[in-house]
Amino acid sequence: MDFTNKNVVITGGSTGIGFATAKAFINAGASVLITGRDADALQKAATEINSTKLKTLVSDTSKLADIATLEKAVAANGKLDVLYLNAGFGKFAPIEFTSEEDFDAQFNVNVKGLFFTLQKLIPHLVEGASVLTTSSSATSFTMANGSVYSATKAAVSIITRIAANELASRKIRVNIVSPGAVETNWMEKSGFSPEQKEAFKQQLSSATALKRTGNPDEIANTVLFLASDAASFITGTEILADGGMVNLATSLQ
Amino acid sequence: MSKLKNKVAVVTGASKGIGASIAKYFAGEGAKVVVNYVSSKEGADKVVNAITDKGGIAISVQGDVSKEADVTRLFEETKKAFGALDILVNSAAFQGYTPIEQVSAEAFHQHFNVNVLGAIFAIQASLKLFGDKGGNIINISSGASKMPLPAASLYSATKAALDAITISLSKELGAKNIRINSILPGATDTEGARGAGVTTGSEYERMFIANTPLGRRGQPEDIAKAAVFLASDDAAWITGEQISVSGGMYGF
Repeated sequence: MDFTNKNVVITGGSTGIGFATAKAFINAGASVLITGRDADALQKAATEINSTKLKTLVSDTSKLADIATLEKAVAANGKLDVLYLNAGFGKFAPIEFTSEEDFDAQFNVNVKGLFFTLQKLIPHLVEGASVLTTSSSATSFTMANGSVYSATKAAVSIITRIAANELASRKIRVNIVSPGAVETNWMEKSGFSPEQKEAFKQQLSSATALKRTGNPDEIANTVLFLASDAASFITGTEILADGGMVNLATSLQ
Repeated sequence: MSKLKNKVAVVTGASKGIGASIAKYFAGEGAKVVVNYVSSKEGADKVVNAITDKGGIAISVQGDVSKEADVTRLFEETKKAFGALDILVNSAAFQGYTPIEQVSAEAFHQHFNVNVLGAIFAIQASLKLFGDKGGNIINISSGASKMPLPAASLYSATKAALDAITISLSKELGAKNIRINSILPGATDTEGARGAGVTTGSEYERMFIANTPLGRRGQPEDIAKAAVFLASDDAAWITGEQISVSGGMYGF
């Protein structure tokens, strides 16, 4: 897949799936702009990728002022060929112990931030552009303690499919990538101890048909496929890259 | 392009339409391809010639997938020619549009024997040829499995059955690293669709395009490109999925 002369924007690109995808697009010849909240993390990503085709921008996707900053940077680049709305996070707790703060934080990043980033960048998308969102296999089952996170991702999925319908007349394709259990640092970010992490990894592996967890590169490959001309007739579709999640009758806490 | 370098693939129903396009795209990515056909040797040979003219490797093998003995022979010929098997594409299908009052037992068996039993026979035979590293199965289903069409109760039911097989076998075979996925084409311009009445300028075609956000019918190549992705290591963590390639028709 060749993305030479294509401009790509990835929100939440300093670690995990966003970072792996940025690397893959750079290797395929694209110019990539990644965003993140943390300047140090962005710098670390830039050092590791080490390419003049990579730009970074400190931008908190949950803040409209930061989205405006992103829009200026995109406008300065001239055109936008691929937009990957990936920034998101989860905080896991039973409904009865979920705070308003955690509720708002997840909806502000995962839904409001994604929605307004899309809104502000739509005018910059070229005809034939491709938009991707990161949803989650969590929308396909009822994961205990994941009510808020799963609800944000269900919202992401329906927003994406409606965007596919609204933007089809400009030949812009919009699709969903839903990762299953991918090994990134999300478990640390969610406050898991090393023991909890290992135990949960075992649970997740046994819950997939392929009997293993995934790695961020495997999600990146799906994103690049959907963004490429090989997927020219695919829009409004969700691809679950989840190793065949069988069942997740377990708790995240 | 070498996403499928040295892989051996069997594509059933590959003398025309989606199957033929998949065979050509697979060969273009370096796979050795068995082009299966039931009646059109001429069509299958055209596909083989198109592949070998470009330096690719392919053979044609006759066989009715709804007949177990034919399927056995198809995979024996595959083993004889290429030694092993990595990828099976179940593309052979029968498609008819009939109001329910006119559905006969014969039409029922014609649909289910090819579209469902044929896929099961081919999968069973494949399992014997897949090596230790696993295998890859792609079922060409249809958007009609999720959004059944009027006067297509039989066809839609066979595709829903095929998707259920995809999901069930993904769980049954995952531990052996055998991946299995369905592709759900939307309104695609094939000989099969034309034979079923979806001709250029027809009422069916107008209805399909009106319901496709990208504003056109799909071409066999659109489906073939998705099949290459699923067959390749790029999709190494994707199994048990039903992927719509429909210009948005089944995304809403």
